[in-house]
Amino acid sequence: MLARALGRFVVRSFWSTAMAVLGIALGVMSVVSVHIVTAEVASELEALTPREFADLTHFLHQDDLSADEYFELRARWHRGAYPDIEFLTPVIDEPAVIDGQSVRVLGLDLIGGGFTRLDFTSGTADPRGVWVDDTLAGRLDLNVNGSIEAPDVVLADIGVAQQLLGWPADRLSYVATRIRDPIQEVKDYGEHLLPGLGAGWPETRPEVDLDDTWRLLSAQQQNPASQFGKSVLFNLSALAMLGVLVAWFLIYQVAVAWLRRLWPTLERFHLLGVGMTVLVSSFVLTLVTLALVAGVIGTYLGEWLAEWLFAQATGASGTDLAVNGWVLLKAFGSALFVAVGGGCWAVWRRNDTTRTYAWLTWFAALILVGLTIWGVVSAETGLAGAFLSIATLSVISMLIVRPWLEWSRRRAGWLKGPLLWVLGFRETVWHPGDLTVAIGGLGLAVATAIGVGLMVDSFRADFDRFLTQRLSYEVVVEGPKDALRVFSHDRARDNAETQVYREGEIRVGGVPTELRVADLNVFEAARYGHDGVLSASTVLVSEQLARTASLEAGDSFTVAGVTSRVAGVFPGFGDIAPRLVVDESHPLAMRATEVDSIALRHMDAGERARAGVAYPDLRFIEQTTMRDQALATFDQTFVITGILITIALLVAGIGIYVATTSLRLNRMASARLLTSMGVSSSENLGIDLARAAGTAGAALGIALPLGILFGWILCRVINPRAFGWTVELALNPAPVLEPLGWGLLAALLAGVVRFGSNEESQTAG
Amino acid sequence: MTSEAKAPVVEGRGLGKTYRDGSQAVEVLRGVDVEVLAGRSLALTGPSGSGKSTLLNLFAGLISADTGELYFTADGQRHKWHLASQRERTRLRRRYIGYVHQFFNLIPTLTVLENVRLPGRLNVGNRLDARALELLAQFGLDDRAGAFPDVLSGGEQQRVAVARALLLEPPLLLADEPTGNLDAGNSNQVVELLFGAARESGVSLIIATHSETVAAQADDRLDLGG
Repeated sequence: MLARALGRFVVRSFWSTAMAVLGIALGVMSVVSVHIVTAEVASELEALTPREFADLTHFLHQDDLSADEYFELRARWHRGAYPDIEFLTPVIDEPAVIDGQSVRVLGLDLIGGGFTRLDFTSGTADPRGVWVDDTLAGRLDLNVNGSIEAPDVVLADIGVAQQLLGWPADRLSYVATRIRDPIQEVKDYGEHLLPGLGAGWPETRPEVDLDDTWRLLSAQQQNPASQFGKSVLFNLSALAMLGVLVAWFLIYQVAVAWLRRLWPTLERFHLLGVGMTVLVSSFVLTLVTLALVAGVIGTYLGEWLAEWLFAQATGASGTDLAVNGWVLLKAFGSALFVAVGGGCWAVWRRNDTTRTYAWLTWFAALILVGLTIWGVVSAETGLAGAFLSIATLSVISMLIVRPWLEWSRRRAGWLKGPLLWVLGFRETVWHPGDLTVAIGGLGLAVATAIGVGLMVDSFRADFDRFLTQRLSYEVVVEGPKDALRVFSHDRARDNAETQVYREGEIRVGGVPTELRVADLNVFEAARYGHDGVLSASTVLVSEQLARTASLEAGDSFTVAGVTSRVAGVFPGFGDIAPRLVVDESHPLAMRATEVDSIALRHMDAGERARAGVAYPDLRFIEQTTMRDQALATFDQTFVITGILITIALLVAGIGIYVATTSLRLNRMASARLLTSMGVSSSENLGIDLARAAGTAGAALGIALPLGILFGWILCRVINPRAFGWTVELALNPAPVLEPLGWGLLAALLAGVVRFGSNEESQTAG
Repeated sequence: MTSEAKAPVVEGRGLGKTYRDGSQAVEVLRGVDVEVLAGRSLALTGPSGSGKSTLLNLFAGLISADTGELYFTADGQRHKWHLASQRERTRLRRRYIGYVHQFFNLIPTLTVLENVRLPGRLNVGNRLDARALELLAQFGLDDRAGAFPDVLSGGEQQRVAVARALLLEPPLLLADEPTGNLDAGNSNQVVELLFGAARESGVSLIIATHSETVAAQADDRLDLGG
């Protein structure tokens, strides 16, 4: 009987049921699509690190590390000096050119090292042989044992690697270790649930009592490319959760509306002797059923969206992306969480209307303010701390909606103007229980859109300035190293007009750093924002390197026995690795042997055409083309972000619709009264519009300051922590007004549109 | 005024109304004839479900009859209520009919004064604002003008509703069990106000009631229970 009553209710409330299912499905779609995409990208990122390194957590560096120093460290470890270190092995890891191929030579102790993942069964296992990636197969005149999955890497036993590099037998690059982490399992599960989460964990230095000559770097610091990518994934995953959060508000809204209409029926069943626990459970079970349906729809939609997003982000079409158990867990977990959580909360709030918990609200808000400040101020909290600040700010904004509406209600008499408009506006604040959550949800979605919009806009402006500064040459020449060498030799007579860039790799404080060598004359130095020329003892460092190695302009540091002074720090938007720029006269210049590219200050079209014929292997790229490509890539990067925000706004709009439907239940008597007084349907529409405008005003009033705060945190806290660069927040009107406009439109449409006009007056059961 | 006093404001012939819910049909009114002359009062009596409220809603133009003819006269014009469009009925209702309900008579988001002013604002702008204040003073509610309805007693709320219904001095005043929710003291006060104001301003009053005392005060009576 009860099931029939609930079923009939759901069918009769067709539109609000459909809206609830659609809202949850959109939230699930957002979560599923982003999870699938990020998991795919994460697996590609993992391929950047040889699998044999996957279990290593930290790396120990020392200048000119010798085998003796390593054995001394190992002896102390065996004696129990470092109980948290589980594994220790010497490593050779250096760039080299072998048979004309730029490769990374990786030397490991393959005999005693315990690298169980290395597949010795394929091919031979000649101790003097090497293992190479498929990209190098057949291009090296070496004794190849088998293949590994790491692009451009030559893996060999440590002795062979030393021979390949021409190093003495007692020289090493660094020591790799695995240090025990008591919450590693939790982190692993977290990574499965939220790919990229690893980048969000605060960087904590393990308690290992090493002497001062050793510098300890985490795997993330050692492999900035992977860290960079994971930071992007973490940002996306965190943003995708917004869809679920807003969906949660929506289902709560639905639960409140339904409960109000169902309650008389439930009370009648209760009077007939049915226990309230059974009734409430049945109610929540109804929501759970809807959530399961929405979960299935959302998962299918999410899989489709993931493939589309992946194609947008990477240009690869037709990629078959996997839906695994973690995706399903997340999809149905999110859906069920919002259903059960929203339903239970609605029931609890209904049964607990007498207490206001004002003191608890303010106490919670105070704690959250503290957490927000902690997350922003304390760099040690990392990316997670920054997102914690955004989360706590979101909760604070939700907490203040109701007190704000109640405060406004107490002052509603102040509002003057045409009576029907006044009536509509006041209805916004008259039933805080109906609108609080929807206003909060819309406010949050719009605030996120404003924050991300401000960040993207500011970033684009900085990036544009950066490109203007960097792309000061007319043409850049790229192509095979040999062809570049020939071209640079031919152009040597025109030296002032030609800039030859050489690249190499060094370690600064153990951090792999891209070394760039050029003629740092006034023109070239200006590309990095530096006035004057660079001397043989000065260098320019990227913002990432400055942050990683704690350097700033004027500081001195020593690398490979050469001491240099930092002449300036330049922004490196888009750089994955830290960069160090030196003049050709600098002693470190000899470490960069490969010509990477050549820039020409002037080259007209005719000359370019002739050069294209003379050097068919080279590409002559115009500055304007590079600029357009760079900006196009920049815009493509944020396609996913834009879609996620649109989904959140859609869900929030549905939330307002459901809340408005609920509110109409409250004003049915008023509506009848107005009709009996001769208020026309167009005037009723005006009242609806005024109420919707009031709802939008309340939501956008919260969204504006919150969005600007989000923007500031994204530019000044999250970007430096995630990518190592700082973006100056520019408060341009467009990224603020556009989301406000969409929010207003969503609220107005949701407040005015009515599906199924009879639904509101439909009695329960 | 005298000649108009004898003309019917509401005139119904053979009025019938049936409500349908799926396959079920409930006939509420059948063949009702009714006539209310200008300046006179009519009490509609009968048990619950006899169609009192339905008949009032027909007079107000909120619903239309399934059968029969209904005429409403205002400002010397006789309107075919049973043929008028909903838009036309709405336009006439807001100008010429005052309605007092049993419950939820006031808009909760408007103050007492704003509630009383509302018909004036809907029809003639703010020209009746002073009249609204006069009515509140006349009904002993001037000190409550700025309050919202939720702080008013039931009796006070009904008095505000009567004041609002009278603001435009409409030719027809409808009241649906206006005292059904009040104690005896408040009930008497509201009834006196309604009948007194109707007589004073020549308004026709149709009141649905269960109360014999209230019905006895009306000039005419239509019992729907038979």
